Amino acid sequence: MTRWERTSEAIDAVARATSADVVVHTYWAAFEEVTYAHLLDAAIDGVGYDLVTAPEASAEVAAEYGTPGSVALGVVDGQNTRVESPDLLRERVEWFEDRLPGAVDLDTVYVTSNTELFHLPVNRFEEKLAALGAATKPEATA
Amino acid sequence: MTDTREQFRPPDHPNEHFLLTTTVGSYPKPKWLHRARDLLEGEYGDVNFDEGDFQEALDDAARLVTEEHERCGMDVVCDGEMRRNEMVEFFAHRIAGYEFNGPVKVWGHNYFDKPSVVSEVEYDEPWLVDEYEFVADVATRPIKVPITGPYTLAAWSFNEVYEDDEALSLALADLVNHEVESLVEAGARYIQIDEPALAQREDDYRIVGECLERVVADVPEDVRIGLHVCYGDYSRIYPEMLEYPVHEYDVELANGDYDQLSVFTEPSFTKDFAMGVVDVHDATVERVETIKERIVKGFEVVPPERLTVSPDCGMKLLPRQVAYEKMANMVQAAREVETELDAGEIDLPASASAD
Repeated sequence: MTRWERTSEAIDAVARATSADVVVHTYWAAFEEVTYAHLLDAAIDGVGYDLVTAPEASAEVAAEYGTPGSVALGVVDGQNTRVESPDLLRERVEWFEDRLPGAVDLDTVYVTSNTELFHLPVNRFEEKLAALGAATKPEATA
Repeated sequence: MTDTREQFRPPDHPNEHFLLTTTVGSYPKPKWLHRARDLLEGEYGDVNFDEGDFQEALDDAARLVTEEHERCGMDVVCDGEMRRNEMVEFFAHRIAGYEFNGPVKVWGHNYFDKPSVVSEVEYDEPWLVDEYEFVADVATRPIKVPITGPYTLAAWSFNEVYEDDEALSLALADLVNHEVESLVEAGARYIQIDEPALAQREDDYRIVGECLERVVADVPEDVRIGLHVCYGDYSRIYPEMLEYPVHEYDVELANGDYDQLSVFTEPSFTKDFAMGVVDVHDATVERVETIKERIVKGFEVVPPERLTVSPDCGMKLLPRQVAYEKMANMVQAAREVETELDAGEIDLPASASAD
């Protein structure tokens, strides 16, 4: 068994053990192609992509190999205090969706940060959450 | 390269050989200095204690610790960074372009007021000249001025403005250069650039090199420039780091029990080598004999005339009494090794005695 198969089986075992939705999210890079292909074989609900540090590579692998029904899009930089505008976050989401083949129909898009927000000062952490909330509100801006 | 070391040999030095003994920088602050800051910040309610009172406390602490360094016999001293709260925050508060948003968790349960660069960085007010002039006035021995390097200032900040950390580092390097020039103008002859972040991201040695070229631009050649790097994998920056425009490299080796010493022997070390001989992460005071054995290991890298003896790193996390005893034992060990070298009782490796 290859290490990719082992990884896929391990994630599979975790995902099957819970009734919650399971999203496997990576950051600071995109999944490598082989890893990604095996990951899609696991019983997961979604995959997460870092669209802050690796947007191109993430979109490429998603376009090439497809996505599960749900995707998590890391569009807020979890490692920088610069607060993104809701417009910029929406642009990043739309950019990714536009890169997928036309037939793809996503069930759920989790709009989130690329990494955890734990290492930010509290005020910026809250402002980033607020920006995420605003970005997901329909017709939030003109 | 010009010999920048001999100027620090004390006039009354007892031995023919001279192992330069010094410190890395920070030293434990007296508890009353922390209490004084609390008083100033109102932790004890509305008491009659103002900024002037706090400055007096800082002066007292700087004087006390400078004299403590001298009392243990160190050749080159400093004030233990009594006026600095932290090695990035202190400078960021004085650089235009920085903003503070509150503490972030860094390691263990430690928090750090990690600043953000929110506009182009500019030199605003002096950073260290007042500190230097005060110590120079108090000290009877030569002084070393530690200053945080531009790469670490950049790496330990949030960068909201510059394209990447390299661009921010280079912009900060020009400001550090400005400060180094001011220090030299004020009389400083020994400056240590602290770049601990280099040990975390060793592949960035090239950026640090470019920064250092800017930092030392137009600094007279008799001014001794050191570089302190600690707690990393030195094999990833050696031998490339020998090309940096500095006279001396200060490295931490006691903590790892010298497992990285051999890194510096191949190819041979061409600059001055400042070697950590007491562990600042261990509150056990090393015996003089133990420190002597460590000093002798240094001769595998450089001959005695190019060896500097210092602690691994800043000592501020140690109990003050322990820090003092470590320094005192370190100096005693160096003097005893010098005596034994004078008497021909120490066999130097062929590489070390070739000079």
